[in-house]
Amino acid sequence: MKSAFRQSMAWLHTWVGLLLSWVLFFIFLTGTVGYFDDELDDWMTPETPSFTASVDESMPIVEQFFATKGAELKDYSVSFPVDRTQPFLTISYRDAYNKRQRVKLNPYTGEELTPRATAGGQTLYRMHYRLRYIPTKIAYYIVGVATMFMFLALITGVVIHKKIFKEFFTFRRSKKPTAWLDGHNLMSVMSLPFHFMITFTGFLLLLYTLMPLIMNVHYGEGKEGRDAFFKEYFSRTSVKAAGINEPSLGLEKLLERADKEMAGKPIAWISMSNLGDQNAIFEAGSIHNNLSDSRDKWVFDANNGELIKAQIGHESSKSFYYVLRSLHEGLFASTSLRWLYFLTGILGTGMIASGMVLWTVKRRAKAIKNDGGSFGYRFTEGLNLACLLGLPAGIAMYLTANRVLPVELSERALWEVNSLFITFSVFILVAVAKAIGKKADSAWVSLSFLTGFLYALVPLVNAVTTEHNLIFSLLKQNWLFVGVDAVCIIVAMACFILGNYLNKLFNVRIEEKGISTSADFKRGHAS
Amino acid sequence: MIVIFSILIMFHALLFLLLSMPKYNKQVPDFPKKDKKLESSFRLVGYILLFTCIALLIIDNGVGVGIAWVCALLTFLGSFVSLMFAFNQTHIAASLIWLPKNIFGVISSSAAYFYLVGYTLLITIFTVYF
Repeated sequence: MKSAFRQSMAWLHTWVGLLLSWVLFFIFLTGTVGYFDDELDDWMTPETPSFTASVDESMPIVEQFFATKGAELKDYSVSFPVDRTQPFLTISYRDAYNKRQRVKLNPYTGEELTPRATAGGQTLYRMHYRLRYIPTKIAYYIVGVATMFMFLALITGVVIHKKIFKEFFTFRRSKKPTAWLDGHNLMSVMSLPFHFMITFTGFLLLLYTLMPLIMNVHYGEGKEGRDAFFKEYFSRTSVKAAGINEPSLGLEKLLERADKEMAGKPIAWISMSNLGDQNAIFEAGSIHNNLSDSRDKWVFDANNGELIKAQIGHESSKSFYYVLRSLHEGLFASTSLRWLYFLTGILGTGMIASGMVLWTVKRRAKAIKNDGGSFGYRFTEGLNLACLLGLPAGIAMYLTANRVLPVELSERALWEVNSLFITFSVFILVAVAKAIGKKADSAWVSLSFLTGFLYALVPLVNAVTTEHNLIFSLLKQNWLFVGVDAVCIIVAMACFILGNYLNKLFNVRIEEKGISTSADFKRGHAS
Repeated sequence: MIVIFSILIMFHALLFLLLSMPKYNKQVPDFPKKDKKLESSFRLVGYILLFTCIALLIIDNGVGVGIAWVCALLTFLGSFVSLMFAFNQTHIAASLIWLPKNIFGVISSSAAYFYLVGYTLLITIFTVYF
């Protein structure tokens, strides 16, 4: 009975894992890279340096900016460069035509910064849950289903792993077929708490899309209902102008009031609504430095400086939601913890990748006996190969495109993203065609080398097109540029080593078997 | 500082747990074989150090961030220990047993309690002075 249960769980784990592995690999890899979304944003706009300046340091520039705009500014917000998510002094305002404008300024000189149009790290991060080229809602459903199946794969994985504690540290690298299984188990078991946490919290982030019924019952269906719910739930302040003129306090006085109420917490942003009106509102918010304070803000009457509302912390249910969301996104994480998140995410991606390879390796011997295996086997191997090498290659191309696409190109950001998917598509076509044509082994080798080449290209193109080459960045201690270049070089080296290893492995096996047919055909069979 | 301290404690805790299992300790030439008492004392100290490390990280960072640190460190160090042990069992075991072996002459339960006492002292001194 026990054995039958375990066998059925193994079947479920294998097929659920395989069917969702392509989507999950995409979600995990883009999500892992997304832990450094702000840093990638900075890397992808090399002409604009990142700044750190306090509110006091930035205020002369803010006042200078408002002085040039005159009395036309009634609604505006200012984000100060006090956090990694905010590298510039950013001012958003409504112009005389009620159109939203946004300017990025050097907080010390007031110079307007015009970074190149780029999709940046944010797009890469958003792809992790919104996917691409499909409506957002459908993407949410796909990601939601994938997350549920990930949960299922994790639970069934624990059930089928008979000796989870005894084999906690097991990795038999010399035994080839079991090495893949050990590697898969190692990456799964070691990071099991992380995987459970990331899957559960990820699922909760899609709560309002996947389980909208309670919200719909109370607030009504459709966009209006959703907007009403979010406005109330996230305490969004929106007060209409009364149309009665009343002088507002100066920004300096309002900041003093905010400073006093915030009790030493650094101000990260301020916002003004209906300036000069009876209903003028001034808000100030702090930075995100722990798990649950994502939206701490203080709301004042801008005409007399009276505190209207201090939104500090949340009631338990909302606080619980924020804690889980922050755990998933790592918003609170210091640089060292962020790197650990990144490495753990890489292990999660590795777990999915090793599962895909394991599926292929287990069926290889049978496939070799049966003239290269069924069409289904070869097609799946091609897709696995395309996904494992195509997506990383696409990301390398995405970074390269940022440097080589002309700055004046219209829809430049879109073309950066397109370059990722064009590369990915080419990899899919080549890998699937070769796998179906029984040349999967040569595809593994050539595509590994090609991916390595694309990653090696990133620091080279960066050095040619910007002033931030690796040596200069090291000398200037610009760790962001050093980090991206170093990661690309490491990935390139790993791909070259993999390609070389696979090439030797496949050739040795061909020689051992002594097959005398054409080289590619031999590779396809002998592996 | 607490993080570095925690990394060291978790690394040693994982090594204690690893060496408490016959499946792994039989691969280390210097390690006494089939010594149930030694294995159980290594297991006990391994668990105590692991919980100490978790407590330290949670006290220092709060529950949520502390759990994030524990998950991430466990993944990273666990994989590191497993991979290193697969490549060179003697060296990775030596990073735990070299010091007590040189002090006591043999690998015995004293080695485990040596670390327990040592870390307790260090944590106490650290708490008092910093």
